[in-house]
Amino acid sequence: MRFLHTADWHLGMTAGFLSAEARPRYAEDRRRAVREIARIAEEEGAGFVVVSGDVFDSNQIDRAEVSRAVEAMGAFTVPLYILPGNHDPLDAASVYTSRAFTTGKPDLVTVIGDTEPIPVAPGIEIVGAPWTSRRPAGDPAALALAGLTDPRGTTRILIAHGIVDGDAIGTDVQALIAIAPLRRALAEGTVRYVALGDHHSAREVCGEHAIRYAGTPEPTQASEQGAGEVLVVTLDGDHLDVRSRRVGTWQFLRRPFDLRSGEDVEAFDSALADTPGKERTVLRLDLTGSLTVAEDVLLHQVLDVRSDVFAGLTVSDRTYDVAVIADGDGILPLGLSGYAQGAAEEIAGVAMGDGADAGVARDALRLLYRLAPGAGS
Amino acid sequence: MLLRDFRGVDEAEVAFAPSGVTIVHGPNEVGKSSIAEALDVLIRHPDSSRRDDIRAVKPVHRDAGPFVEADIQCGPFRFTYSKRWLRQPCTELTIRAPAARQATGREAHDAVMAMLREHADLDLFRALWLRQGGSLDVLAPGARGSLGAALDAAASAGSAAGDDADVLIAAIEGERAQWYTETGLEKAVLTSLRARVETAEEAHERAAGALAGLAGCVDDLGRLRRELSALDAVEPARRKAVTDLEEAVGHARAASAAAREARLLSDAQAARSGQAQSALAARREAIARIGHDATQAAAVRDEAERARAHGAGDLQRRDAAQTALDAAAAALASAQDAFEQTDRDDLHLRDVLDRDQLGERLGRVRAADRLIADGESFLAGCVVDDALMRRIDAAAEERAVERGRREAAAVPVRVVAEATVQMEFDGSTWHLDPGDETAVAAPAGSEIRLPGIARVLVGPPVAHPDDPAVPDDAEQVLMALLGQAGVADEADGVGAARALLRRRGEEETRLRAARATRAVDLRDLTPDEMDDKIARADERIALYVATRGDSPAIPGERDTAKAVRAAAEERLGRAREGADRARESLDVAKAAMLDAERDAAGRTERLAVIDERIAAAGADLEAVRAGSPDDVLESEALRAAVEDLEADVTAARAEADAAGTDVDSLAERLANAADAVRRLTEDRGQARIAIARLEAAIDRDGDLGLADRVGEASNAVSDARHDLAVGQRRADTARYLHEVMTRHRDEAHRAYVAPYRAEVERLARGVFPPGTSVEVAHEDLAIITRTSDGRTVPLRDLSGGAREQLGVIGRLAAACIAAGPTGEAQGVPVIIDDALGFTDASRLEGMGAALAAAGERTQVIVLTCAPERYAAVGTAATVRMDPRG
Repeated sequence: MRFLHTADWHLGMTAGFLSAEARPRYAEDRRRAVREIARIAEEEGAGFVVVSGDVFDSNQIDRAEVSRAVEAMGAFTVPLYILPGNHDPLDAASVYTSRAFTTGKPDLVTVIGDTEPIPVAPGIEIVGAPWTSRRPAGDPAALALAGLTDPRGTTRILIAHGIVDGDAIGTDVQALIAIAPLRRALAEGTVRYVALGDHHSAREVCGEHAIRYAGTPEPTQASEQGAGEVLVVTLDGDHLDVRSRRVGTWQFLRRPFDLRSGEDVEAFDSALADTPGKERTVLRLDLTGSLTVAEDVLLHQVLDVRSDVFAGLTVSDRTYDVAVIADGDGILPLGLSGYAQGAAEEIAGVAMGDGADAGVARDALRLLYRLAPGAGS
Repeated sequence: MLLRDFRGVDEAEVAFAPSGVTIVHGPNEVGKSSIAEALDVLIRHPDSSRRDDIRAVKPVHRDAGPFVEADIQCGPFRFTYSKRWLRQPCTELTIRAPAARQATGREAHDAVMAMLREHADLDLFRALWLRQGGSLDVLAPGARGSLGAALDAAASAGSAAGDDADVLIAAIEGERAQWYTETGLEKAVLTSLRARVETAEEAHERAAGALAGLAGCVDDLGRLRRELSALDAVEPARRKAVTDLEEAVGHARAASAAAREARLLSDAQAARSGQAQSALAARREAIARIGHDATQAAAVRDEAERARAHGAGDLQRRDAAQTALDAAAAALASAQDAFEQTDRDDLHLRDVLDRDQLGERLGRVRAADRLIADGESFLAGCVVDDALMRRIDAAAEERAVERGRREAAAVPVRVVAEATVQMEFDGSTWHLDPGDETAVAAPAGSEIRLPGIARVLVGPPVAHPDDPAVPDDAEQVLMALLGQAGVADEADGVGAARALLRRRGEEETRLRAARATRAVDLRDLTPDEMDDKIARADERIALYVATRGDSPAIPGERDTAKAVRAAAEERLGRAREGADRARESLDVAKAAMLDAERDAAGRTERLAVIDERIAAAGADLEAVRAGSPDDVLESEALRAAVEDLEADVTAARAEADAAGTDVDSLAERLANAADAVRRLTEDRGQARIAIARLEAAIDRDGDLGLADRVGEASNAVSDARHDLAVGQRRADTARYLHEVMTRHRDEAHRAYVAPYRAEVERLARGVFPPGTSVEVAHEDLAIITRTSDGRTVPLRDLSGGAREQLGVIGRLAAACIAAGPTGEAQGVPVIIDDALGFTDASRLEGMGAALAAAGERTQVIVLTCAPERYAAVGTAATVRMDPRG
């Protein structure tokens, strides 16, 4: 028996971390990922697909977006079981009871509304732990397990959504999923696999091969590990096999550069130029080092130019530590003389310091470099 | 310089002095003003140019290309340069120095530009060109930048920035002007960015509020549905509770009424029983009171009887106490007598002791008197004292020394016995056996005797010539002193004298001790007084012994007498205590008799009162017994009590029935239960209404995509904030750069002002009154005010002539500074086209001097139709232009 495990589609995410230009592309690619999952399910011969919560980014997304999502779900040729998560709980305003969803929902799509086992194939049941409000009182997975009886030969898959208690140190989340009952249920054979959602990185939980987060099919930030994938789960008797297939097309990167010469700036420019898939790449830069005024101007020209081609190119203010230093001969190469040169040297002095005006002084040097008739000569 | 077909000039040629002042004069329209313009056009525009400047100088009356040729000296270069434009354009250059060379066309143009750029300042040339009818007030734009290097040198400030600085400043001002007004206020571009942020934030707040409202509706709906479900669940139970309580209240109320009636009956019966019991109790109390009084009267009589018996005892005890007191008084008198006898004995023995001690003291006094007499007698006869003794010792030592000296001169004699002999020498005796040997030192004159055998006489010594003469009076001196001491006859006179001195000391010590003893024993008496006191004591003692009697005997010792006296005194104390105790016992016995008498009188009185009360009570009891005998009263009380008990049991049973059902409590519970049902109904109704409203609201807003709106609004806020941050950063940058750059520029310009003003004031010295000064704006080197004779007048308020004069002087001053102190620096000619028309004659002279002074350092070309205005320029060369053709 084979099925696909995915989660956290977050359709309708407004993606404030992207530029206005990139947001529509990102939204479309999240829907494209849904169709890609449908294609992989067919390709892998999967019997069904489970989504462990947060198909939608919110219950209150635009109904046109809901319709587009439902349209994408139409690509599935096998049953698709959707678990309401914390972003799209099955509450009074649930997107799953909206007209846009109910009228367009393909027949193969099932929203898991309670913890009753659902037969999905001969001898196979899925048990869902849906969120029915934004703030459930307790562990939804434990609630689902509590009602289970002896499987009597039936293979059960538990689908749940939330943070496991091993990951929640320091949080005040009430609906934590306790690991111990899950392990006990696996050991007792009450369930064979626990398909989790909420965590955007794909990973095993606490070293348990059969308890997994599927991750989000399109990444949302650089810290996510293994995002952009879907899990292909095969249960053959007592044997469990889980492997991943690539789905996402976006990448969120964080890269450090230490810049100490014009050559370093040129190499930095080349590195940006050589980055593949820039229109679907969000790059966060940690820049350190020390540059002359001319090199600093060049660096910011590079940033200005390259930021137009990346989906996102940001320089971390928190880690930015590029000092502006004097040229080797102590003279700014601006072709200035007299008082203009004196003014430029005063600004350079402030820019090279760490006073309150250092930032504006650096910007002023860049502007001066741009405006000075003899700059760069 | 040659002009042909240039504006209205067909042809004109003029030669300028290479330095100093050249005055070019001629009638109007002869082409004077065209000379400066032609020079400018020749230098700046290539022959291919067809721009308006060139077209403007084309002659209007014929189709010919304007032509200009000039001989120019520039630094080390000397060259002839000509151009024709529009028609048959051409450029020719002939360099004559430093190396001859020719060029044409563009090459010639570029070569000339290169030479001029290196050795002349074309911008300054144009700035100092005072055009006909042009503004006189300020230098033309460009002068300041071109003057920079020269003014820098003059000011020694190192602050010149060149023309590029003006371009840069203009660019920076342009950048700043995008964001700020001249006065520094934000322009709309910034305020609109800020307004956009505020608008976006407000939109986001509205959207977030709407979304939060919807979320609140969802939460409320869930909660209300749970509450309604719970209310539905409890409603049947609540209604049944009301019904049950209504039944319970009916039962309870009936039971309560029955209990109240039974209790009323019981209370009435209890009252009757109480009255009967009270009457019976009163009867019993009256009887008991009489009995009690009779018992009390009997007790008083018994007490009186016991008191009488006890009174006899009291009398006996008083008599016994009196007898004891008498015995104690007798014992006390006896003890007193015995004590007084022992006291007298003690005094007698003390008198005896005093007398004996006085006698002993008198004996010691008299012994001391004898010692004193003996000691004084010895001392009176003894002359040896410490001083005499020291002299005797010194004399004895001297004599010994003399003897020693003599012994040193003695002859050693060795006697060897050959038979048993006795030898005597110097008072010593030797017994020598044969073979014995002895040796002595025999002084001269001494003798060794062998009794019965021989006398050996030792001869006189041989005097040594070095020995001093031996004194022979030492012995005599000693003997005289011993004689003075009275011991000259003693064998050991010196020892006798020392013994006398020793005894003298002893006698003196003894004498001091005797005198001290005498003084101690005498105290304040004399020996005779002591004798008298002893005699009187002997008389008293004898009289006491004779008169005292023999029994008891006088104690032999004083200590015994003291012990006997102490024992008698103790007995006396005990006798006194016994007498005191006997007296107290007698007082107690007398007091007891008085108390007994008072008690007896009281009892008699109390007994009379009790007897009277018994008689009265007995009369009253008899009276009531006549109406209601005691047994009747007893039976009525018993019957009433039984009936009361029965009524109470009946009432208690009824109350017990009612007690299990507290009507008030049940009624309150019933009311509460009814209220609860009513409130439950209301709550359910309200919940249903609220649910319906919430469902409607959710149905209405749920499809609005509020989360999308919030996200979009949030994105709009982020975008607006980003754009504002970028704009603000650019604005801050431009403002900061502008502020720093203009501050440096202004500081540099302030440094320019001083040398420029000094040059202006130097040239103006002959034009205006002595001490005239000017104020110069550092921004554009414009002359702002002139101060003469203590009056400061703004330039705009000066006369046209004065303004004209300052305009010329300002240009001359700038040219002089650019030319340097000796005119060797990079100078440019000053061209003054038809000026000083408003200057009066007296000022023209001063202006002539100023022009001449400037001409010493730079080339000045004056174009005028009135050469007489410049007659005062003494060194000027004059060139006349006449109309041709």
